Amino acid sequence: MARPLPARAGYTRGLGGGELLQRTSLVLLCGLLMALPASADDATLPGYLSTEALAQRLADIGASYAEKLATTRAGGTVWAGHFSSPAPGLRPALAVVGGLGPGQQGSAEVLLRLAQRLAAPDGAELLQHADVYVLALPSPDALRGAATAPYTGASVNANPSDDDRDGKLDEDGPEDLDGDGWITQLRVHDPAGKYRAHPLDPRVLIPVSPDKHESGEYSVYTEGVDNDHDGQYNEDGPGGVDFNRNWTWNYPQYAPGAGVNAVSEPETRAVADFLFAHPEIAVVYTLGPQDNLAHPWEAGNDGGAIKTGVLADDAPALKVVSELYKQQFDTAAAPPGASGDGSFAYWAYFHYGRWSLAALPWWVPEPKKEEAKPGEATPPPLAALPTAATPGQPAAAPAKPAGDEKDERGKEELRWLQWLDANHIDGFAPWTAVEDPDFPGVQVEAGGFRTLRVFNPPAGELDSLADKQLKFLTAVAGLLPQLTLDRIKVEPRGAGVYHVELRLANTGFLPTHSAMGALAGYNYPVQVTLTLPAGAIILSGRQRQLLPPLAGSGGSLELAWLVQAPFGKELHVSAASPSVGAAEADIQLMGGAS
Amino acid sequence: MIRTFLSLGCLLAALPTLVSAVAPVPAAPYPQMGIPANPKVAARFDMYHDYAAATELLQQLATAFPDYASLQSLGQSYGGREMWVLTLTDPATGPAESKPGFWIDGGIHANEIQGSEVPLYTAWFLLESRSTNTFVERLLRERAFYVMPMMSPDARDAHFHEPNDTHSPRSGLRPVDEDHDGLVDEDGPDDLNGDGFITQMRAADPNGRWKPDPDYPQRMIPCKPDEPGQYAVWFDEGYDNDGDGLVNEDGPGGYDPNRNWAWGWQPEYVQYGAHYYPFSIPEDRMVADFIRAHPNIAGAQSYHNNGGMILHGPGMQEGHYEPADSALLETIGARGAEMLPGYRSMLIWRDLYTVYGGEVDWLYGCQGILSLTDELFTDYDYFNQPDDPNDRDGRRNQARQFDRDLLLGQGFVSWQAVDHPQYGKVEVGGAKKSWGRQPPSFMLEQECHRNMAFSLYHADSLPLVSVQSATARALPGGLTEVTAVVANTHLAPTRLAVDVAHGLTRPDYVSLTGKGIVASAVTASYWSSERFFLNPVEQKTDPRTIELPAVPGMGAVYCRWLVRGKVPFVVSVDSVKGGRATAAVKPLDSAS
Repeated sequence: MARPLPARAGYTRGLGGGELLQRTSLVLLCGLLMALPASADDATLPGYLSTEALAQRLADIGASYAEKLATTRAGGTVWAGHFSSPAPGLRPALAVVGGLGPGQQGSAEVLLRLAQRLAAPDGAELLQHADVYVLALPSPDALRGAATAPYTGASVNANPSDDDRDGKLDEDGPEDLDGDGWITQLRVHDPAGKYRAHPLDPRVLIPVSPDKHESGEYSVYTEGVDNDHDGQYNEDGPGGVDFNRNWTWNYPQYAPGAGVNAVSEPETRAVADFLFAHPEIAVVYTLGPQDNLAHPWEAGNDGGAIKTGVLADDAPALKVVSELYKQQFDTAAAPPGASGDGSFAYWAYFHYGRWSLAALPWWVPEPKKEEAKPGEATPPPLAALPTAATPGQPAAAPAKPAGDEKDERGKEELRWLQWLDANHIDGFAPWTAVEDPDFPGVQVEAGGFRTLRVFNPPAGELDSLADKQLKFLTAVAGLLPQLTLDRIKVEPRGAGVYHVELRLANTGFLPTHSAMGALAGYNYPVQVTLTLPAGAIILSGRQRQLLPPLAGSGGSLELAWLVQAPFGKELHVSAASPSVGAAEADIQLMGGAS
Repeated sequence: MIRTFLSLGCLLAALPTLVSAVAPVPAAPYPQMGIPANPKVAARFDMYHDYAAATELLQQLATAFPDYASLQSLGQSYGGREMWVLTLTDPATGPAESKPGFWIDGGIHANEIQGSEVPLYTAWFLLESRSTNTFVERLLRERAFYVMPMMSPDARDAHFHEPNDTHSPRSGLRPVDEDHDGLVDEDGPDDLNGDGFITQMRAADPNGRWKPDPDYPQRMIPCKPDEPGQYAVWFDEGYDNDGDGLVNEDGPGGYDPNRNWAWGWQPEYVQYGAHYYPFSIPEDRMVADFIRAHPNIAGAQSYHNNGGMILHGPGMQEGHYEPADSALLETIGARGAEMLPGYRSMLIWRDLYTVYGGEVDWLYGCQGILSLTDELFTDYDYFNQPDDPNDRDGRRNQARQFDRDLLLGQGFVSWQAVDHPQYGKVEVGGAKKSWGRQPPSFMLEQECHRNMAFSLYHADSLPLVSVQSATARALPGGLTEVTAVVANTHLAPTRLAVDVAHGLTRPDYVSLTGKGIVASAVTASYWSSERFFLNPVEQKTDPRTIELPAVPGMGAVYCRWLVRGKVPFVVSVDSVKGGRATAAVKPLDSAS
């Protein structure tokens, strides 16, 4: 159950009181905020840690979280955690990555807690099966940027970029016109606009439907002015490159936030290099905007030579993993994941060739029974808003509700508002009249969702989310392939010649490699090595061989050699792959002595 | 990180010059056409330069022409060799970065060794001919040339000095575990007979399906379907070094440096040699960083071998080039096909094969550069006869006949018996590494010169802005109307269509300056693609500087300012890839 967030001066609506601050006082205010000593708390999300404090907590974990991967262009450091068990042997690993996208704050906090649990006895069961690498903060500058007022909700690093590709860097960022510290939206009264107020809650704007006889009421922009007078609003703000749009799968070349090319940023490159340097990684789990756990990938058209859909052989296993996820998380209200273009999670499956699991760190839950349904609750007083009172504008709540059952427009936003209202979370800036030099004489209001508070869980839920993630990952680790060598048969053929046969089986649930992994070719196949005693030779068969993937749940193959060796000696057979593990067998050459 | 090597390079290069006092190059007794008659730096292009010789030539050029040439290293290769770039321009007309730049590289596939000779020849020829050839002199005044002869210097030296064949090494020498067995580069080819060449292996075998070619007995050809066999043939000299039952499965390197570029990149399973991600090969990244830092580079030529091809992208069918840009590349390529007998202008994915992550596409798609790749040396060169591309056997026979009649059999290693650790008695023989893809000495010079000449045509087709006229006319109310014609008398526009479509570089700026020209003094400004301003485009921000999408090739843009004030004014054009130009504004009444 979400707890109400305590109101705190400095980031709540109380800051500007909904009034339009003069630009000068806003600048003063920002200056004051920056002059305050750095807080250990995040300014945007009550109960969350600041970027520095989060990094410190990760460092406090100690030697398990101390591998430095990169220094970002803005001087931030990317660290990796490595959690292992003292048990010897070749062990596969899981890599868990968070700190991406609009929920970057929540996922980073959850992974901090996961790392703390892995460093404590809580993690022992998981670490029995596999090592775990944790990258809670792969793009630290993005997290720091999101906590710098005014709050945009963006998740881009500090590398200046030409988002609108006009030859100028960062020349038209947003402005906090209503002085609430947040960059939300502007709605400009416009009979030719493409948006109108939702009939059930006029705070929500919905697109005008071309199928319905509807008139537009608003044009909608992000909050700010057109600094460079190019007719676009806030199209090139401070920073940056989004870590999660900088990967090679379906890379969105030329798109804002994607960088000059795939894997262009020091932090992206370092994470790629780190992962390629760790062939033992079998599974990558990403807490970010993409999802294949609440909504598992459906096998379908795999895209031909360049794979764009999950391969048919891999889809069933991902469905099973999804079921494990749903045992921990109620996914009824989980929104579909974001597009995978340029994303880390899709890269991890399609290009890195590992099992890639992806989920949102959190989402606004379904309303509890006792909570009011949309439209039944009285929205916060809107009398001050000119919407309904403006002559010639449709009333906020028209007699004929446009919202028929099938009309999905604004449904998600209505649910968000309901949840924010029920939990007294200050996640929506009420529409407030502002003056905007770009629209002289036109009614302009600033307002809308403070998205950080919609995409990130209340701080009180972080511990339980980390507990669930640990349980889920422990269950995933239990699915990993498991090699066994058995059914050893030694048949003496005379003259010191032995036919040696044994079975290699995978008794784990997952195949030794996914179909995509085998295709991608960056995985290490299972390698079988026969070690001979002194004086022995192989008459047929290979001393070392690389095997095709073994299916899960009992996939097996027979291995056989003809060797000539002194009586009573021992052969040693090993089957191993870094991302699978190893099986060993000693074979005594007995019988048929001459 | 780009390390400027100019001062250090000059110093180092000056030392041997002072000490050994390079012998003066004898003056040519006859005013021959072609190579510079009396060069300051002796250079031969009837021989190939290894890394050390190429480095020495570059350093000598930088020392002999300190005003016109500067040498820098972009960093060190995996093997510790310098990644040399020689910048050429006439400093009298401004620094290199103020001029439209032309990038020339070679040897990214290091076995394609003449790919490095053409850039070396070009640098030498331009510097040595500048004082005697007005075309070269003009080019150096108008352009900057960035010459990078060795994109993969480690592998170049490996091809020269280690056993290889004509196809190797195509990769750079960063180790890659190609067979994923946990060992890197553990089983490459082996020079069994110690002759410095990786050739073929054969063993007499009545069940083999090969026989010697009756006309050219060095060469093994398949038996006819109903013909008894004579030999088993293995194509790469070597043995199973690592005991895994496979021969030569994990040799030096294991990637393709020309599949690691960031436009249309696809991973290894789609595109062999892609490596891990765009610019995961540091040598490629050094070059990309340099080119990004020099946005004035407007044209590029990369030299490869072989096949007589003038290639333009896209490398893949789903890649998109703007039609206007493709037309330009085809126009330039068609001229090349005239200048280079036996060469054809080709679209890579359609006419050759699919390439993801090629340099030629990155230069175009990410940098807005008019980019071509020449595949040097063609079968046409043997007997000046077009080959039948469908008759591979006929093509091979031309090469064999050329070896027999003109190389006098020099191109092949005779079959020689050796002991093979796994196969027993075998014979080793076949084409030498220096025959097949590379011209012999007496054809190399021609290949260098013709391809250079084509590149100079390409470089001359790059945009170059000028202020054709700038006039002022008095209007009522104390206003002055200033009109400037900004022209580009070369083939290519100042920004390719891909550049305009995706904003790869900033717009061209046309500025009006003068005493009293503050923003408020300019009432309005606008530009038009035709002289009558029928559809003017207004400059909305600071009207002193008009932002143009591009100045078209062989065309002009018309710019106009309405100013409160009077001459003197100056009109300046500043184009990232089209150069810079300035003109004083003349009052119309006094213009004549």
